[in-house]
Amino acid sequence: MIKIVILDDEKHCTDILQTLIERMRRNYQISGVFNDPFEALEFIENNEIDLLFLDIQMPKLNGFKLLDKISPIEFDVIFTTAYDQYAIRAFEYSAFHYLLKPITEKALVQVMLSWEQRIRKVNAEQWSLLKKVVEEENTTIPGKIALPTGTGYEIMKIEEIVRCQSENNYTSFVFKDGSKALVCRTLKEVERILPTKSFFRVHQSHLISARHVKTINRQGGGTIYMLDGVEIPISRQKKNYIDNLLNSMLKFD
Amino acid sequence: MKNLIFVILLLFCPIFLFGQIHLSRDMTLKELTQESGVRLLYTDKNKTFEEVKKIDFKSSYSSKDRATYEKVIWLKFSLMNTDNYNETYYIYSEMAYFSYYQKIEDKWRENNGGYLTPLKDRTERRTADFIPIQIKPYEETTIYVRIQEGRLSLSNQKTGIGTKAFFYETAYKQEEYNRPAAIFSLIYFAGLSMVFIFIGMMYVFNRETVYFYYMFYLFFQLLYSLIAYPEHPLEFINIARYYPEMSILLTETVQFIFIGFYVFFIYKLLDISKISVLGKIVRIFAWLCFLYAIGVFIFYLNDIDLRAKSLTFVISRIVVMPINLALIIWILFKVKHKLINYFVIAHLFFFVGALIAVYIAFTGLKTNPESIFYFENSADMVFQAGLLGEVICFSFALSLRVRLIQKERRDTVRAYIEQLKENEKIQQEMNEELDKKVNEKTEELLQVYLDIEKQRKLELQREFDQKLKEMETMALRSQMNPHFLFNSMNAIKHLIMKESLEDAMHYLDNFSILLRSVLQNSKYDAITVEEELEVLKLYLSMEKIRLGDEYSFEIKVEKNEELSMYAIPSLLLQPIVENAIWHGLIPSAKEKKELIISFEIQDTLVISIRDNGIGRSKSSEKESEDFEIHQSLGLKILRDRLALFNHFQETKIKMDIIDLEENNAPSGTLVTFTYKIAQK
Repeated sequence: MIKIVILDDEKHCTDILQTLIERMRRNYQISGVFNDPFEALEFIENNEIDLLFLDIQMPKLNGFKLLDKISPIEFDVIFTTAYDQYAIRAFEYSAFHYLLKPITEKALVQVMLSWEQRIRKVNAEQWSLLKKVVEEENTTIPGKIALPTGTGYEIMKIEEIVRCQSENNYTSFVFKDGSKALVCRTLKEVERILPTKSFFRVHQSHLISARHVKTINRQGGGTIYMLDGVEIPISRQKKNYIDNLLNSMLKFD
Repeated sequence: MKNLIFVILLLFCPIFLFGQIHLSRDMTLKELTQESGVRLLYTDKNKTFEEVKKIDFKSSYSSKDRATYEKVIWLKFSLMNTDNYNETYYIYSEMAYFSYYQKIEDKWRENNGGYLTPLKDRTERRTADFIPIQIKPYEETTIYVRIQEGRLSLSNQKTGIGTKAFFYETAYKQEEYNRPAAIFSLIYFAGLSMVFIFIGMMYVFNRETVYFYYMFYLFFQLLYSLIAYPEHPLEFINIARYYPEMSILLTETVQFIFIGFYVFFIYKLLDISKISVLGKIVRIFAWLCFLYAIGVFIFYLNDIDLRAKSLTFVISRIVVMPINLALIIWILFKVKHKLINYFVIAHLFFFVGALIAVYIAFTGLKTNPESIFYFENSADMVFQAGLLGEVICFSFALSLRVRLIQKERRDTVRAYIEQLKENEKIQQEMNEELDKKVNEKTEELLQVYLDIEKQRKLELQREFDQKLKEMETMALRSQMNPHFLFNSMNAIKHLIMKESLEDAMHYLDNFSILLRSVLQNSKYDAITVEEELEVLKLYLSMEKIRLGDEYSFEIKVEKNEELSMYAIPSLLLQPIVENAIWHGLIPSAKEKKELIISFEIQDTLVISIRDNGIGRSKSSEKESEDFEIHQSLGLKILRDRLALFNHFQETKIKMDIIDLEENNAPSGTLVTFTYKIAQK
């Protein structure tokens, strides 16, 4: 059984989530439902749990501060939030699961299925990455990103990413050292997370890092040769991006 | 002195024979007036020797007999060499002209002497007073002697025969007597020549009349020195001796010419021309000197005697000297010239020389062996020494004048250069001023331009910002169409009331997702068509729940993936679709109400929204006026947003609204968005 704890300062939120989880009829056991973060904290410290649904905006103690008080974090967390662009972006970077309120059944099912694929605990590195992004409030682009792969998470330096290629609902990453990773995210999602100034969607299936472009061939439809030797076509609509790309490339040297 | 020698000779004469003059080495000089055998004949000066030979000499020669220029004396006597030597004797005379004739091998030979005989005609060139004569031992020979006075001379008429020893003694004494004059005249001549050459050069190079005058002054001085000096050991100084008569004639002329040039020279040197009256008088004086010089020359060419000569000499000097002095004093008082001191010193030299010369001439120092002036032409020499001093002084004056002129020129040049510099400075200052002004003006203009530009930019920016803000708010307002919001609320309420809770939840989920999307997308200028399509799908699914089965909404997407490559202003399509449903389809009476939204990609993306509703014209008939305004406002906002998008984004979208017709009746509306192919 998977032991689940739900924490939200508003009761109707915990109610909905509890109802929806129960309606899934999986081997989930809701160990505790809390509207008070301190009560929840006490419970978490004294009981073994697997998964915590954690609201961020709480008047007494917000979700991040609460997590800060727990060390080590021997469970996994799915954040819930109504509307917080910064937090969402931070989750994306650190590859935390999250749910947007109002929580739809569809979204919950998707998250749970995704989570079940690789049940694990909060990784210390992942957690510190999240905190870093949240603390800096997205003023600076973080140097690292957590990528959910089939087996777990890979935390990579963003500048190491050479290119991303769409593989149906997954995206394959190619890194500077030649290694590859298949990430459980669509290219569209990846594009949204990575900094737009250095990553360019030159083609519907390709997102490339300007830092690692070897040559650009303007002839024909236009082609880009990447560091790993792969030839990437430029979409006709994005031909104009070549100049932006060039400008961006020049900034790195 | 010569008389003294003569007396001594007379006393010691051992042989005294009558009718024949006996010559021997023991004697010194035998004066002819003292000899008994000397016959005399007066003729006029044109009688030749051939004529005279035939005439009988009747009278004897005594010391009372005097030859003149017109009336010459012929003497005839025989000579006997009593020595056993082939000895040379000398006919001696101090006359202007004298000659003797001797028969050698049956031919009469003529030998000439005398100080007015041209040098080339003289037998003995070294001295004018002696003519050598050769007589063989114990031989007797007849001699004719002709003596003549010079036209303007007054000579000692002593004539005799002397031995070689006498000749040498006399010659030596003469030379000794002449020596100071010879040395001095050489110095004088050399010095003057040098100055002459120098001044000549100055004239050639400078072409200044002051040099011209001075040059000629010097030239005539030189000429005068040549004429004035009677005999010189150096041959080239004796040029005048070749033309002795002419020399005498020119003496006066040359002096006055150089005086004339001298006056002109002073006139120029001291710039006397500046003082009109004095200048005029000085000029006249100079011309008078020239006139007198020429007149005197012509006068002398005609026969003139010694008295006339003396008279002219005295008169000219009596007239000229005071005038000269007066002029000098006048000049001293009137002329204020830097060189006036030199002029004074030069004249002092001249006057001192002249005074001493006069003193010598009048006191007879020249003939006193004790005196330092006991030498040939001493008065003349002293006078010339004064002249030399004067010349040297004037040379200094001239060189100083050159310096003065140069200085003046230099000063002028310097002043000119100063002026030029000043001008340049002024010019430069003016240029700088001008440059500065131009720069200032340019800067000002530039500033004004910049300001205008800035202002314009600012205004444009403000305008744009305002427009943008307007657009944003309007767009937001149109997106958050209150009709849609409240209708949705109403729909949820309706579903709950119907107790179809699943539908209500589903509807609510979609509604929240839609709202989130709208909120999120409204932050971006552009989103991908893919994202817009998601919103559209949500919206349509919600409307579908509300409107029921008679409505058919179809979305045709050929290449879903490629839609992510196209940008679009967020919520561009939703209002069109909403409009098509609520104002096209709902009022329509058709059984099957269709809405087809297609995303076609061939060369480029074309989005078309087609409904089979009542069409725009009918729709506006049905609707209230308020709504029409709202609708057209909505459309205007749409167009503006599109224009803004086209302005800022690289992709360009063209919107067309086509009213569809079927059998001449409106059969719906077609709205297309066509992407222009990116060109760059």
